[in-house]
Order: sequence, then C-alpha cells, then structure tokens
Amino acid sequence: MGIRFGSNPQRPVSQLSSTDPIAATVKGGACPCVRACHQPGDARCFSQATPGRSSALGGRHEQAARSIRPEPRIGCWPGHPRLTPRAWYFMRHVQGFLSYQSRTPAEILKTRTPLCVSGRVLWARLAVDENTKKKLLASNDWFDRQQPQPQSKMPVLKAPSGNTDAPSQYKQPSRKGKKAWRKNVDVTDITKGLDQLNTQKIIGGVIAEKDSADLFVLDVKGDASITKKFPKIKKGLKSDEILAARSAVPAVPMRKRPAHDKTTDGVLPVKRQRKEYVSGKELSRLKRVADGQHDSTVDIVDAAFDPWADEPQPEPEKAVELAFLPEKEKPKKPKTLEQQSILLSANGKPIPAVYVPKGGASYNPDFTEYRERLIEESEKAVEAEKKRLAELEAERIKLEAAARSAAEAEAAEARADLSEWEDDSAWEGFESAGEELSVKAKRPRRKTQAERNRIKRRKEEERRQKHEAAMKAKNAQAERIKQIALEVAEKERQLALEKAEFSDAEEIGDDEKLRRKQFGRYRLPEKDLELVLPDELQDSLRLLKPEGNLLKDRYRSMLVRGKMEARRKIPYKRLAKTKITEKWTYKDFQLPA
Amino acid sequence: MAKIKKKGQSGQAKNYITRTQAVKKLQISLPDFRKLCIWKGIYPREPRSRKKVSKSATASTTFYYTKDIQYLQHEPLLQKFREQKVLEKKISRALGRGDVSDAARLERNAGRPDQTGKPRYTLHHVIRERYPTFIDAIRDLDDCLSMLFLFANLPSTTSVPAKMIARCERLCHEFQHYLITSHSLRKSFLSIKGIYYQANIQGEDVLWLVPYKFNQRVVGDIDFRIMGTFVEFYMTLLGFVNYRLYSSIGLKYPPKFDQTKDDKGAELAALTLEGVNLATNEETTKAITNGEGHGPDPKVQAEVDKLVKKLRTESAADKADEEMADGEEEEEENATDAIDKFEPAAPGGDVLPQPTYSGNDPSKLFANCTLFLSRETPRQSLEFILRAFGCKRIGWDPILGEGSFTTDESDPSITHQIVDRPIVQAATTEQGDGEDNQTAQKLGPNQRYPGRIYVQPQWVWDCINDEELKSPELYAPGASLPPHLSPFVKPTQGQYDPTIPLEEQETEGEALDAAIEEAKDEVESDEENSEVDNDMDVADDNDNDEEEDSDAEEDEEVEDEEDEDEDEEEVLQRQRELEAEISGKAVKSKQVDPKLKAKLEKKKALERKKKEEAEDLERAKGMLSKKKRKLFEQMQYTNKKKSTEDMKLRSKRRKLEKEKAAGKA
Repeated sequence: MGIRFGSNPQRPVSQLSSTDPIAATVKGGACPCVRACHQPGDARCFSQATPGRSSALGGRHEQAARSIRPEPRIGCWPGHPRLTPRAWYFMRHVQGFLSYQSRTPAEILKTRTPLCVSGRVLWARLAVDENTKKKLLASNDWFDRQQPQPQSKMPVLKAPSGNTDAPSQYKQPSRKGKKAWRKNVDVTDITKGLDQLNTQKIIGGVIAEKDSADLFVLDVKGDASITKKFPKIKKGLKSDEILAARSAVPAVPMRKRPAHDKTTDGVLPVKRQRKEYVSGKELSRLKRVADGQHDSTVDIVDAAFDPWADEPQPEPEKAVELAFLPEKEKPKKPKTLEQQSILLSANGKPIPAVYVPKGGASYNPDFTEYRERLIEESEKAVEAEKKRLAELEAERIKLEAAARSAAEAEAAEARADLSEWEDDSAWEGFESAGEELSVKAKRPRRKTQAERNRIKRRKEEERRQKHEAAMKAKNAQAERIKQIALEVAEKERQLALEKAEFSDAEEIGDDEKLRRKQFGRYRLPEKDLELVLPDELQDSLRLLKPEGNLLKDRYRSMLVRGKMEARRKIPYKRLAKTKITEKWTYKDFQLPA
Repeated sequence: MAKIKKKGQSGQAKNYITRTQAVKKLQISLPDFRKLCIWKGIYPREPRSRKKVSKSATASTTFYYTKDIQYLQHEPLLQKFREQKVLEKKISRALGRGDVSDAARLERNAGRPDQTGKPRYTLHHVIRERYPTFIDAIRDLDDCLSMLFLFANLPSTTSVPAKMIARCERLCHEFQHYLITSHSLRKSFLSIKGIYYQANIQGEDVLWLVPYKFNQRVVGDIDFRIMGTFVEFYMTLLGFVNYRLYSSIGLKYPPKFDQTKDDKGAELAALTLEGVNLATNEETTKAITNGEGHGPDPKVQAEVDKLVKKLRTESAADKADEEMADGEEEEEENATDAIDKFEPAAPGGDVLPQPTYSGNDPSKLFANCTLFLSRETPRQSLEFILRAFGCKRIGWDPILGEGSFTTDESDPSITHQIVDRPIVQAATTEQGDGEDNQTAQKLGPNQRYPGRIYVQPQWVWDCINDEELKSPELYAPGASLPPHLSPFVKPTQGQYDPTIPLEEQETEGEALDAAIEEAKDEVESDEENSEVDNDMDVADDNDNDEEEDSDAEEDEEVEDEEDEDEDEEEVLQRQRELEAEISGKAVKSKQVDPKLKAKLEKKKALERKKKEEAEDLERAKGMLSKKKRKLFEQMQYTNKKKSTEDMKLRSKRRKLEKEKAAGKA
C-alpha cells in the first residue's frame, strides 16, 4: 500500500480495526466509554479522561450519561464539580468489584465507606473519613495507573466475535481503463485513517506522536493499603480456569417449577404407549430365566405311539438322481455307553433301586425280627458314639500335650533366666569345685597293658551281649511268626465264614457300607436311621409314625448307584474376599515451618 | 524297532475325559451337561490311575468316557440346550435395556415352539435308545415308579411345580388302573417307610415304594434340579410303558380324565378307561365306574359283573391261546386249570417257590365282598389293593373323597367294614365318648351293624399276601394283631417260620423227641396220679425239671453217643429204683409202654443213621482240598448255629402250644 498516516510510521492506519473505541466514538457518536469498558487491554480510552481533554467532549458525553442515569451527581474531581460521565459510568459498571453495595458515589461518601473504583487503568480512591475526604477533594487523587484489569473470579465465556464470513478479496470493481481506475478507487480505509487522525487531533493531538509520559502517569508512590484490601490476583492454573468456565448461555434455573409445567421448552412430550404390562412376579421370573433357571427344556407330552413297536420305520425314498450319494451314516453308539454305572457299594455287589424290605421294617413287626433289627441298629449307634468319644478323647489328649509342652517350654525359659542369674555369680568370681575339675584338660598318655586287657574284655562282653540279644529277638520273632500264622488262619476262617454267610444269602450290595473312593468333592450323605423305637411301636396303622425321608432315600439311592456325583446345595455363591484397610494419609501432614 | 509311544496319546489318557473338558467340548453349561448325562445314561467313571489320565487331576475330579462324550455331540437335545442359551442371552439383553415387554415376548415365543416354527424337543428318542426292548424298560420300572409315586405325593413348592406333581399323579393312576384291570399286583407290605407293592408285569417282578399320604417333608439338602431331571425322564418313560401296557390289554391310551372329579379327590375314579373297539368299551367302562349310580340291587349287579367277568376271562383266555401260538410272552394269570404244586420230596427239603394262584384266583379274592372304609383308614392304598384283587364295590366315608360305591355306612350290601379305631372303654355308659361324637351321629361308639365283618386294615394286606381270606377274628377291632410279616423275605430251608404250623417245619428228630417227651410226661403224670397221697410232689417236680433240662441239652447236641444215652437210661433206672426203695414200693421198671419204646428205638435208629452220615461226610471231607474243606467246615458251623437257634424257637413254640392245649383241656 505504501500509504501511512500519522507520525508513527510503524502503525498503519489500515490496522486500526473498525471496533477501535476511538474511531467508533467519533463515527457512531455513542458514548465511547460504553464500549471501552468492555474492551479489555485498551488503555487509550481512559487516557482520554485526563482533565485537559474531557472538556472537549463534555457535552456530548453528558448527554449520553444522562440517558443512562439521570441522577444528581456529586463532584469529586478537583477541577470539576461533578463526576465525569465516564468516571460515573465506570463506577457504576465496576460495582461488581466493590465490596460495598451502594449505588451512587453520594451514598458511598455519605456512608463513609472506603471505595476503590478500579478500572482497567484507573484507580480511583475515595476517602471515607473527613480527613481522607478533604484530602481527596484537595488533591488530585484521580490518577491513571498501568494496572492489569482485575479478573473476575469466573470469566465469562463469550461467543467468538469478528467477521464470520469466508475470507474474500477487496470488494473493488474492475479498474480496467483509466477512467475506471480513477473512478473506482476504494479509499475508505484512507478516509477512515484520516478521520481517525482528525479525531485524535481534535481530542488533543496525535497519540502516536505523543510522548508516553503525556499519556501515562507513573504512580511511584503507591499505596500499601491497597494490596491489603485487594489481595494480589494470582494467575490460576489453566485447568482451574477451564473448570471455572461458565457458559454464556444462562443456566437452567434451579427454582422449582410449578407442577403443571412439565416442559422446559414448551413442547409437550409424546406420551409413550404402554405396550404390555409385565408384573413384578413375571419380571423376577424372567430375570431368573435369564440367569439360567428355566424350569424345563423338554416337553412332556402324552405318549401317542409305542417306541418298542416292531414295525420298521419307513425309510424316506431317495430320488433316482441322488441315488449315487452315499447313505448318511448315523453315529454309532459306543460300547462304553452300555456299561453299568459304577456302584458305590463296598463289595461292588449290585444295588437294587428299591431294597426288598425285611420283616423288621414292618409297621407291626414280628418280635424276633424287630429285636434283631433293633440290636443291629443300636450296635451301630453305640459304635458311632464310641468313635465320637474316642475322637473327643484324642482331641483332648492332643490339647493337653500341647498345653504341657507349652508349660515346659515356659519352665525351661524361666530356668534359663535363672541360670543366667547364676552365670552372674561366675562372672563375679564364685565358682564351684566341680566346675573347676571339668575345666581341667585331659593329658594324652599311653594305655597300660592292664587297661588294654580291660578294654578287650569289655568289648568281648559287649559282643556277647549283643549276640545274645539278637538271638533272643530271633527266637521271639519265630514265636511271633507262629502266632501270626495262627491269627491269619483265624482271620481267614472268619473271612471265609463271612463269605460263606454272604454267599448263600446275599447277592445284593449294602448301601450303608460304601467304598472309600466316591465321585466328586463331597461325601455321600449318611443314611437315615429308619427304626421305630420300642416305645413308639404301635400295632395300629392309624397310629404309625412313618420313619425316614423318602426324598432323601431316593436321592441317596441315585448316588449310591453311581448315576451321578454327590452335590451339595450352595445357597450363596462365595464372593471374593474383601479386606478392609485404613489409609493413613491423613496423618501425612506437614507442620508449617 | 517298534514305534515309540508318546505319553498322553493313547490308553487311559485318551479314554477318559474330565467333566470340565467335557462341558467345554459340548459348549453347554454345567447344569445342562448334568441333565443331558442323566437323560442319556452317561455316568461318571473311575479310571484305574488318575495320574495317568491327567496330571492335574485331583481326588475330586470326575471322569467320563471320551467316547460317551463324543457320542453326546450328535445328540439333538444339545441343539435345544444351545437354543436355550441363546434365548437366555436375548432375554438378559432385553432386560438390560429395560425392555421388559420384549423380554417377556421372547420368553413367551420360546414357550410355544409350534407357533414359532421351531422343533419341539421331547425325550422320545432317548427312551427308545436307552431301553431297546420293552423288558428293559420294565426292569428299570422300580426306580421310575418309586420316584413318580413319591413326587405325586409331594407338596408343591417353587422347586417342585404343581404341574409336575399333577402329571406324576395322573401317570401313577394310569399305571394303577392297568394293574387293576390286568390283576397283576402280587404283594404289598406296610413298612415304617411307606407301602411296598410288588407287581408282575410280563413275567418281571416290579417292586416299588409309595410314601404314606401327607408325610413328605421337603428337606434342604436335596438337589431338586437333578431330581426334577430324573422325574422328567421317568414321566416320559412311564407314559410309554403305560401306552404299551394299555394297548396290550386292548385299552385306549390315554384314558379319559375328568378334571372336576379329580378336583373332588376321586383319584383313581377320575380316569375312565375305554376300550379300543366299541364292544369292549362298554364292559370296561362299567367295570371301572365302581357300580356308581346303581339303580338295580347291588347283588344283581354283582352277579352281572361276575358273568361279564367270566365272559371276559374266557375271551382273554382265547386270546392268550392265540398269543401263545404267536409266541408272545403274555401268558400269565389267565390259565384256569390248576398248576402242579411242588412239594418237598423229603421233610425239611428245599421249599420251592410255589407256582402262584393255582387254586384260588387272586383276581377274585375280594370279588364277593362289598367293603366299606371308615374315614380313618388309608383309602388310596386300600382302594388300589382291593380293586386289584377283584373287589368291585368299595364304599367309603364322604370325607375320603369322591368316587366311592356308596357313602352310606348303613348300606345293607356291605359285607366287610375296615376300621382302625380302638374300642372305647367307656362306651357302655350312656353319655358315650366325647371324642367320638362326630362319628356317632348314626351309631353309638362300639355299636356295629349286624351282618357285617369288622376288620382292621392289616387284614387286607395279609389276605393278599397269603392269597386267601384270613379269618377276621384275628383282625377284629381292638384285637392285638398278628405281626405283619414281609412277604418278600423268602423262608430259607429249615428256618423257623411263625406262620407255618409247627408240624410242617420241625425235623424228624425233633418230632420224635417231642413225642418221646410227651409219652414220658404221660407216664410220669400217671405216676403222679398214683402218688397223689405221697408228699414227694415237690421233689418229683424238681426231678422232672432236671430231666427236661437234660433232655433239652441232649437235643442241642446233635451228635450224641449212643452208649451215653444208654448210660443215662441206666442212671435213670437206678434212680427210679432208689425212689421206689425210699417210698417203699415196687420198682416200676417194666412200666415203659410199648409206644414209647418203639419211639425210643426209632430215635436210636435215626441217630445211628445220622452218625453214619456224619462219618461219610468226614470221609468225603478228606478228599477235599484244605481250602475247600475249611470253607465247608465254616458253612457247617454257621448252619449249625442257625439251626440250633431255630430249634430253640421251635421248642419254645411247642412249649407254648402245649401249655395252651393244657389250658384248654
């Protein structure tokens, strides 16, 4: 471009934005302060407020100010009886920063409250007490200051300002030809710059040409109290800033809305149609189904045919053209499937599904049979009780032994303590005679012949004794072998006897004596005692108290016949163990130095 | 060189598979796997060495045959389980979305596969597979019936749905109806656990246990999911078995079921049997309806029934003949001519199981009776048993439910009434008993209708087990009942049996001993009679006692020496002489009557024979190997022990009988 305005060649006029406060003031005629106050970082606006210059604009500004607030003012400026509209506006506007909530400076002064009007560059201080007031009125206490604008605690987010259009070229008609060249030159920016320059001249001189000392006053004195009143505003963290950011869109009011008003946007919601009512019971059932607890997977229907009928199944006829295809092979049943389940009876004999009842199980039994059964059952009970008692006794002995050993250990410790005490005597110098002897070292010397003979004799004797003992043991063993043989024979006889007893009568296994190895993790449940005690025995069917639980009986029968492995109901699944610990960080504080 | 075998690639390691592996292989959940195993009859197995099968196997690891699991992979039911898994996922997803109605819809649609086009899954093919023949199915019926009868008597809970219980009940009633019409119930036993029944179906004995009514408590430590799986399977099985049995006797299956009657507690009467063709239809329906709504006289009705029955049996016999010609196995109870009875060749010989129902037909055991059940009796079991043994007319108290022949206790046609109430002692007083006021609306306590036999319920059971009508005096109300013996325990040879009279079971030697003793007693009593005036009574008695004791000892010692016996005789003779001397009378040595002498001689002969036999045995034993000989000795030892016990029991009974006879005389 090459065209520059003003004395400052570094500042092109074209760079002055259209939102420049001064330009806008000049052009639009609105109060420049209105804008200036909203524009952070622009120092010039307030430099206009210097006493020499404000008069030039006075009337117009007054008008504007009046339109804003037609209130009587109090002068607080040495040269001016009243507050300048700009200052007034400013004061009004920065009330947010005032700790005091008065509306007007008059009120402020009346109530004698310290007031600090803080703007971007202006620090106005109004004294409260008479002295200060006088001082304030007497001296030129309004001064400009280079101060960053105090930030509000919560900066307000604004929509991005500026031109939102797509970038374009100069809107300049064609300049083809000389005439067109002359006619269609766009000189708006130049005129704009000139206007600005003029305005600046009117205001008090071209700003760019002015000395900074004219523009700004350096406050060298400062005020200690201010820092106290306004704590230094630290620049917070970015993250805090982000977190503290609030939207420009007004928040939804927290106030409770009236009941009938169901909408926020005034649009009534579409009423959702309730498709089908599902009761709570049904819902819980569905939840159970989803959890895998369905009642039945297969259908149980009335039998409508005979699965064992002999008539051959009609084979589906194959089409002639598909005859070449080989028959689809059916899966062959493995031989293992035919094998009997593994019975849990101790002797491996077959266990029937239903045991043939013996006479003793009758509701009105024969005396001898009942007595037999009673004796048998009571022997079993006695045995079990004996076993239980033996276990208890063993437990008791174990505990006792543990207690004794603990006591012994304690006693030994005590003794050790005691001996330590005695050691002290040695340390102190008293020693017994025996101790002295033991200390004496053995002197190596040759053995005499007599000694050698004695040793030889002793060895001989020892050998003889050893041999004798061995012979004795051998003899005893031989005796023992004989005894064992007898015992074995007796045992064999007993076994054979049992075998003989069983062989002719019992071909079925016992479901009470079970094999050691069973399926699964859990042992089989014990069989219930099915016996009516003698005093409960009734000869009337009406008075019979049935014994045993058939459900349990059936279940056990299935297990004993090896149809499945034993299970146990687990009412609640065991959850992972959680351990509660306490953190001690609250104790990790640091004392201030 | 042979190929080197790698570890874990053959043998046990390949033949077995752990449960977890199997579940993973089949891609189903563990409960589903359990179900499938139960249905398909795949059981846990025990490898010879766990360590060889799997290194990580612990003691609680369960193994299956790999081939079984491989076979399971072809199972169509597996698809069903997988579908169920998919459905569960869908439902849980819908629930997670909060779309409950969608979840309900999914579930509903899965419940009616016929409308959604998905195949129905039943256990039909499994039944066919597990029981290739009908006989196989019947052999497994013990478990099936016990289970279903038990579940039919359970209270309904969340784990046992009412639907399942109702179905079990119906199937059981259907089965009972078959037993009734085919008269194949054989025995029944009242035990403390429940009631045992034994039936003979196509030559196979089926034994099952039915709980007493209202006694089942559901305990916590039973896995009802597993029990339910078994019940599902058995319900299908019994359905098919019933179908087959019904069609085998020309009945339609399923029989007509009357819901309203069932709701009123008719039980068996809620089902109406129908013949396959019209001709049989009328008969059967009549036979089953318990003669209800009887317009004509019940006696006439009974006669008509009898006639019809006769006709039917004849036609059945004809049929049976035809079937026999065809080679069928159904040729049981319809044979009318008597079957030979196997008598033991020698006394004390093997008692063979007698061919049943030779003389009196068990199907007609109660045919001529009209029974009435008092309200305290177990109606379900009594009705079933009585009907199965030919009773056509059973009445009961209206409290016991519907379907009775009569609810009127005063019906004159009633011949037997079953009561189980004690005789009230205070009945003779005018006020009567307070407790019995409810029942005494028509009759006072202890009052009976004339012309009717009153018995306790055990009578019915004892009658059917012995296949004869027992004398009702033993079972009269208030009488102490004879013991109810198990009909399933077979009496072994020579064992004491309280039901048989003494003469039938005692051995020859025992009988002789008894006779000798009797004769001696007679002699002595004669002596005593002659010595009434003497003061020796007490001493005499003591002597007699001693003698008896010594006799008893003699009895116990089977191998007594002959000379010893003779010595004893001499000793006795001497004693007698001494006594005679003291009393100052002539010696009555020659008073032994010839009868006694003959018997004594007979006994001696018997003992000689025994001794010879024992010697023979000893000689034979010498031929045996040591092991066998020992075994034989032990057998002899136990047998002897048992026989002595039995002998004691018999002698006790003999004594009692003798006392009784003396009391009577």
